[in-house]
Amino acid sequence: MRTLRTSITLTLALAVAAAPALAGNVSLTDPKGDDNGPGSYLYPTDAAYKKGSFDLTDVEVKDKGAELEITIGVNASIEDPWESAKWPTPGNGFSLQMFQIYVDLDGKAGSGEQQALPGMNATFADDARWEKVLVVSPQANKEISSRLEQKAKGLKDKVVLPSKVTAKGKKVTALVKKADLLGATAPEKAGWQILLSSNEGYDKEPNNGVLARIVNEFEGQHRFGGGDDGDSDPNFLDCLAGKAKGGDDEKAAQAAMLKFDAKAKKRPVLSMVRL
Amino acid sequence: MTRGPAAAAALLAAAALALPALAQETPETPEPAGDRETAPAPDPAEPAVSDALRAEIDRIVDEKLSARMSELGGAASGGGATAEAPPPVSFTLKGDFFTKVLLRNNTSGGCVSYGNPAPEGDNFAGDNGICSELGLTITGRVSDRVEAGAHIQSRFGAEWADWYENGDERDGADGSGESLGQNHAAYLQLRGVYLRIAPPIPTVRSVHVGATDLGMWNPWTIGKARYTERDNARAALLDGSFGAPFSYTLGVIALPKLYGGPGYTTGIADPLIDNPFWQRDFAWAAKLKHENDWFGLEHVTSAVLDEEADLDDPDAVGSTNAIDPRDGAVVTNLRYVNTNHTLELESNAIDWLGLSALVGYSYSRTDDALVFNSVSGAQGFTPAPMGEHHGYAAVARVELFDPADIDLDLQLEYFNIGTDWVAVMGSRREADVLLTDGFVDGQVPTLNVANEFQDFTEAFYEPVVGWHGTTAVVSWRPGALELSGEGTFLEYNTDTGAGSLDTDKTYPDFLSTDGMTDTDLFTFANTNDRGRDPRSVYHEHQNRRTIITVAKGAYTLDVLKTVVLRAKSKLIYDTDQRDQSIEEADNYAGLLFFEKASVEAPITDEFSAALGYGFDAWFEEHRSGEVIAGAADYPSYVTLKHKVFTDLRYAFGGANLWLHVEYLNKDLDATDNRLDQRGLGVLRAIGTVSASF
Repeated sequence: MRTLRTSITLTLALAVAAAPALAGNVSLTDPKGDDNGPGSYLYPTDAAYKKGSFDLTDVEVKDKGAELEITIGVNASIEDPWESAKWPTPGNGFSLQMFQIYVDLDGKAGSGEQQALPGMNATFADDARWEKVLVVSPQANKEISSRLEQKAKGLKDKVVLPSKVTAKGKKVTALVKKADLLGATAPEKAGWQILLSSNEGYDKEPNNGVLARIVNEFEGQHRFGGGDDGDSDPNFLDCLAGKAKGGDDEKAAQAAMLKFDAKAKKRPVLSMVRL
Repeated sequence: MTRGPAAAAALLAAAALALPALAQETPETPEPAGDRETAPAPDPAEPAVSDALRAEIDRIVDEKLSARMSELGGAASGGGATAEAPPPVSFTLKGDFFTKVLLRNNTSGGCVSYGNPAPEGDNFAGDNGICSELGLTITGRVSDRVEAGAHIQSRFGAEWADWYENGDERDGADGSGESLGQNHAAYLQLRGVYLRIAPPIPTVRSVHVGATDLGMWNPWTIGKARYTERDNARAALLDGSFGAPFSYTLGVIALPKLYGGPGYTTGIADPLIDNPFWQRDFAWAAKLKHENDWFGLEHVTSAVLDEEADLDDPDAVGSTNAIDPRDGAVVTNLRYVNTNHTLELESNAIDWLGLSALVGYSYSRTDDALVFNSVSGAQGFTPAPMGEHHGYAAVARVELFDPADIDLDLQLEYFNIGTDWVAVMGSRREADVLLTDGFVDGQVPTLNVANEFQDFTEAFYEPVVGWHGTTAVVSWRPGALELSGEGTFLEYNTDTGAGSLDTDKTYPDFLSTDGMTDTDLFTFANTNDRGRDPRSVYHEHQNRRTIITVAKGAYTLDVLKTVVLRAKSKLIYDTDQRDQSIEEADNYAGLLFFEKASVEAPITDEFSAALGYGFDAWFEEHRSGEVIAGAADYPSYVTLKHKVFTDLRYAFGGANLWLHVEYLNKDLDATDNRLDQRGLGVLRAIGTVSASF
């Protein structure tokens, strides 16, 4: 009897301990100081691009029933130097960053999209192809939809836009319908990749893609440097690498993953993080 | 056991050796493994290698052969080594189409609600008109280290109804196509021409010559140019780094003759100067920055120097000095000098804690022989006080971002900007340097505020010169709900106590000094019901305290494509005892309520609609008036405003459309009935269509 009671107690304790995992929350961490893409990227020279603004630190996915609350952290205060509230189509309270959150729902090699959204200049490995991508941007959803219609019409049904985006402190939080992003897949069963780029409302360069700021060989007032003037270099500064535990080894893993070859027109190949 | 691999090595060596022979030896040919002379000969009694190994050797040989042939092919075609090929020179041309519609129930014609307030004015501001403009952006990559570009923009102001206007101007508008002048001819103007170089010079990251938006400094020294002027500033800039933690920016910027000095001029419009010399007026600036994982420290120094010819020099045009000999050189004197120095510290090392602090010093001096006194002679309209002034500014902010993990943030700010803080080239708008909601939309650290050339829907800005106080903001954002509350206590360094401030000759008061500014119906001409000019920070007598409270909320409903509900309530309690020698009769007390609520919903992915209502109620005791023969006559005002508005937005295929329509009813009831503005009804709209290509 005592053994049975002990077993029940232990089972309950384990159940309680396991509850967060069962609730479907996902926490991913990225090391600080790796906001240099493949290791060479430099920020633009304008004062708005403050140190750490594009340094991804953590991502937390909270299962809120029908919705997911996804909070993304960077290593600087989220600021709004271009006053997004006063844009022709008012924005979401920040100006600089743009996040693309790719999810691999089936985990099957060769299944899903291989190319990242236009402008990111990256492909996904065969075993990391994605089914959905959530775009978290300072831009209003209709601006993003409009650009997708122009530049990524074939992928439009794979792009999910949040119902609400807020910025505070060093975090940007997006609310999104769980069914839209993950379908029936539990968050912890999906593969995750987050690309941290810079929002560019004036995205008329051929390789801007969807509202993304480009990286050139040399930095400018509003362009990143350390890349290439073609479209082989990834137009994002930071992403998840390795196991997304935040270890220093992930800096090297990211640099290796984001290596590109402009001469051979070879873009970086991205992996997914799986729990 | 060793024979196989050894043989394979020999074969590999032979293959590798053969390749250079085929391809003519090159330095990068790999040396074969082992020594050629001593490599063992293959044993003819057994196969030298297995089939699998042979296949692998064949594959390696093929790869090397293919690579080598490819290299030779490139050389033969004149391409040389591709790694050394220069990147292609590129030339891109982009365009922007923009059209604006303004409508109002009056007969004022024009394309911008608030135009140029200067006496010279403009002939395209008004409330009814349709205007189009074209922007062309040219970018040329000269090489991987050199870029040149330009922005060509058609001049705004040509209305659709101005068919055929060719740019000629007559005394008045007539029925011809040549009477309204260039502003109505949509001529193309060279705006943003620049050259940018990344030279291989130690520490130098870039050299920029030409147009810039001045975004590299800060609002307290040289502010980023307003959006409409983003291509107008011209500068030479040097940007560099002494390694990752230390960087610098140096610049020399041409002063704008339109507003860059006392009297909104750098001499050219100054009545005291017969032969103005403005072409060599510059602002000089330097920024030093240190950033590490714990904090960032930035120092910016700027100096505005406006020089004019010394008329005592016999070489100067207009000189009356007929005694001294000429030497062919003209000595100059500084008409105006304004220096600003800021030191800014910022730390975000702890995730839940944000710290920032800025201290600044300013120096401003007008040469009274070269600067017309606009304080006394131009109704107090000048962005710099007369004489010599030493000013200070300090702002410190602490932000706690959800430290208790309950979605609750707290922000605290202390600010203290001295009476004599002057930054004539500081941010004129499109920056907001304080946490508070303030009286109007944004706060900037200069008297040189730009609330002109804008439409009735655009933000108004006010200077924070003389402001001293604290702000606390609490925000709670659990999921779809956002709530925030602000409390600000404000007193003024410009207070005079029992004394007075010299607003006759030294400190500009901008003529309209009293009452809450009505940004809904702001006109430069109407000094009765629009309230004070936002720039009016100096008063002859002032003893003022202000409390500002703001409550805001938003909720995103998960219905249809989401519906967003927003509400804002602001209360300002503003008191000013003014002249302490006058009992009560001139004491201002304003109880100002601003209420607004709206609902917005996307109808489709591309189209959204919003509907809102605003209500303002201002109870202003002894709002404005004057003291005549020791008797104060300050009538009280009650102002009620109702506004109903809708915003429709459509974005599709790169085109953006926006339509804002509002009906505004204003009722002003003053204790002096002659000042009443009863039942004012304004129906107006603004629409824009834009696309880039």
